[in-house]
Amino acid sequence: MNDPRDKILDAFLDEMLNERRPQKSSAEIVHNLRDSQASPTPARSSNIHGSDLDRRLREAIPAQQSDSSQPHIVPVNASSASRDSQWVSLLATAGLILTIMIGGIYLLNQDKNSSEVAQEKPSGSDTIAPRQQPNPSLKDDSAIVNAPQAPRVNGPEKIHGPAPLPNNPKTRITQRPDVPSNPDAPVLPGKFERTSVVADTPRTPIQMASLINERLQESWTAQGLRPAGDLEFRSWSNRLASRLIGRTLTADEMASIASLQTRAVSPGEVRRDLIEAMRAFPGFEKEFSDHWGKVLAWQILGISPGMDTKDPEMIATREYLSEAIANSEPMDAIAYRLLSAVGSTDTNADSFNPATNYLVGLRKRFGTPELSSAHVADVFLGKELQCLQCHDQNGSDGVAESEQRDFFEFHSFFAQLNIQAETPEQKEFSVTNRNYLPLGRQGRVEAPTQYRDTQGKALIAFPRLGDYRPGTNGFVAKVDRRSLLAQKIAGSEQFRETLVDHVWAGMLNLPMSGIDGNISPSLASLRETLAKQFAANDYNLNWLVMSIASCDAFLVGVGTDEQLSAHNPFLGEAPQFNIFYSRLENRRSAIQSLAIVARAYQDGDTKEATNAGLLARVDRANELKPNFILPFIPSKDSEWATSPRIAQKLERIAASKTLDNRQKVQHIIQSALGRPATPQETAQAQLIMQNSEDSRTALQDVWWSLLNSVDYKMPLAVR
Amino acid sequence: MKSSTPENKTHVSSAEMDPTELVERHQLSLWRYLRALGCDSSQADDFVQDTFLKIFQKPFNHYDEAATAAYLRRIAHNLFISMQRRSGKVIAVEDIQKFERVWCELVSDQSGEEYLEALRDCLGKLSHRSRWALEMRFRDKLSRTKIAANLEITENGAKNLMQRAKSRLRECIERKTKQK
Repeated sequence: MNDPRDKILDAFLDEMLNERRPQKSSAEIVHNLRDSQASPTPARSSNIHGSDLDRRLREAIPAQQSDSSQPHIVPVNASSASRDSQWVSLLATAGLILTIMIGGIYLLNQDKNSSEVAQEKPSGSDTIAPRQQPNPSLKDDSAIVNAPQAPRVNGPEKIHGPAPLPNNPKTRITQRPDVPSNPDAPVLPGKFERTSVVADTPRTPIQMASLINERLQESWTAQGLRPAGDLEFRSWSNRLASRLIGRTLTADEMASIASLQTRAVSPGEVRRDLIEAMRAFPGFEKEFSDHWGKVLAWQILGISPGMDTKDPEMIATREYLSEAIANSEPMDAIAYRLLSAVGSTDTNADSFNPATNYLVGLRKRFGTPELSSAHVADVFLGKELQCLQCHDQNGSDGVAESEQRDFFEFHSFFAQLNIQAETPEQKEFSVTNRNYLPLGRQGRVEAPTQYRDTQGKALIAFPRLGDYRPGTNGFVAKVDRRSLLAQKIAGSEQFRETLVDHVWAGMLNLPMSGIDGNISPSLASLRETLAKQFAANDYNLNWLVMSIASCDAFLVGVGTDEQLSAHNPFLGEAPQFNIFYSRLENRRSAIQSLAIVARAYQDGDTKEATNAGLLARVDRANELKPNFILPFIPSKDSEWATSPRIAQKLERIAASKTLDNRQKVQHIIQSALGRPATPQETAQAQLIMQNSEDSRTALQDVWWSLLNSVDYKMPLAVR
Repeated sequence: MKSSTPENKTHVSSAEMDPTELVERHQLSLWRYLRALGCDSSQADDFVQDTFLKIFQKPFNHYDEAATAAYLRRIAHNLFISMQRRSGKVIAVEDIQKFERVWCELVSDQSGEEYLEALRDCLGKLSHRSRWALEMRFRDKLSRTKIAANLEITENGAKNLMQRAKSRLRECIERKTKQK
């Protein structure tokens, strides 16, 4: 490590000369933290920067808590305390020496072979030349072996190529410099061909919903469960809007659909009419695609919903997905394009391909190619391979359920993937396929991924997914591993079912397979049927969303504590969806709540402000039911708080000519909190008013943010 | 031994503190600390957020500002080291302790504003060429070769010029912070 004084000076110089500041405000951090706790879809996937609170909470069990506050210290010359362990160490050392000797002999032979091959091959067009490195900052680390990586001072993290094996001077395996398959003419994504054909007759969303209802009902009966009561019309409308377009309904929209509930028809028909009415809203298609683009981007990039990120690749992936959804593109084709993408993230480049942002974003987010591959397996196939990077996984009977080899065979599909920064600032990246030719294997056609097992033994793995083995050749022209994998994934049953799980979670807060992949047999069968129908309906996301929105599980209320304790998916049990699951969430103070909305207004993000209003309802409901939030529960309280009477009062205050903005917000705060507003609260509420073009909407948002808070007092009305 | 009975309570639990206030008070200094450790801007942002997430999950006792700041730095440090370890980098223990000691010595006001202010003053006192060299290095991110070409000196000359400039800056800042 350099002199700390220098490092500190460098950091401050960089901050001062580039006018750097934290990109997130304090309020934003607090907001994000709370949102991470209120995550509506507890993704089963892991993520490095820890936005998955469930995983963190599981990690934070008391036995391990002390670790988090202790520095990670690399033990030096740690001696074992007991005699037994000394014997074990001695034996292990002897074993290690033996392994090194054998490895040494093996490598000597290898080097000899390699030099022979090199001598046989004259330098010419066939020779693979090291790639020229125009800028040291762009140097590919994959070619560096055994060089200790110096801590990075500044600048974004470098994107690495296939990582070499852990350092071991005796058994090191160097990697040959990569060769672009065609550097001058970037290969555009290949055409996706659907290989799997589902014989099921396509059903409409309503027909599918009836089938879901039948299966759920059977499951509930078999389990002795009863469903929670249905939500009342207004609450259900808001739940529907929040899941379809990511926001609550405006007062005008609510008024426009109010007549539906008065019709003397069955609840099912009302539901169907309401969905149709909502789909007829102006701008529905765009809001739908924007919302679902965001939801799916969160899921496939491993970001907890609601966790705000300014990451450009995340934003670009979201936009790409939104556009594809708006064009009603089939989800299997979208998945294929994301996984097989080649080109540049630079919009000005000829080879610009927006789909490349996904793989770049994934690598930046997870840091290593191995973790990125594991995440792809998780979100596209529902397979958790991450742990297998290091060791086999045994079942309860001690027999290996999954092997380390499985992971590296999957990871091997990404061996040709090459992500490089295009500019020194590392803002734009190129994604290409390169010929994969690990050193030490010259003269051979096979290009395996090399890894070590827990004993340090060097092993190799070739690409394999289930029974599918595309071949061992590392040349892209012979075997384009990533495209073949993308094709295989997009046509697989697991992909269909995993996507159904993602969308189900986006609608009902939990995937069918629960938090830990624990799914009841009846729901597993339902998921399979739903996935087949999804395929029969051309992998249309809109169809899937509407089918789930029309089913009973989306209509039920949050239930009682007794109903929840009968099977609690938050404790690892298989979810049954006879109640609407919600997440534990802490509530905000009035000032925090106002600050979030004010911030959204300042940023010009009125949609965000509306979302904050949505959270307000959720939080308010939480107060009524202390343990779990109950979105939009039917109660006198929520009825009153959202009643037209309040809206009228707010309009009257907004239109008042005798009150200035300060007095208006103070009036609202006094009414909602039953006490005079503090200067800070007044200031934040005034910010909302100042940054709004419509004072009525602004006052509604002030009202919602106050409802959100723990300080809100129910009995006082707007006077 | 300090008593924690309600009458003589010497600390409060962080769970009782206003989270916004806590974040506001420590966000900037933590961010700067992480940047000094080697994080880039957005990475530091993420680690700051993760640090607060940790203390949301596991509240601690707040004795005074300095102790809380040190505790938060420690968590941030651990998160940073975890990331380094995942990248296969090894952090030597003595360097970590030295870094913490130097940080406490130089950034005595917790936030780093004093240091920044001193740096601004000291940078103004440098010669035009030295300042220009540093600006090219830190603001324009030019390579040493280009800096040398712009200054019409050799690469070694540019290196020495920047080293001397930084050394003068360090001395000047330390003098100012000690005076305060």
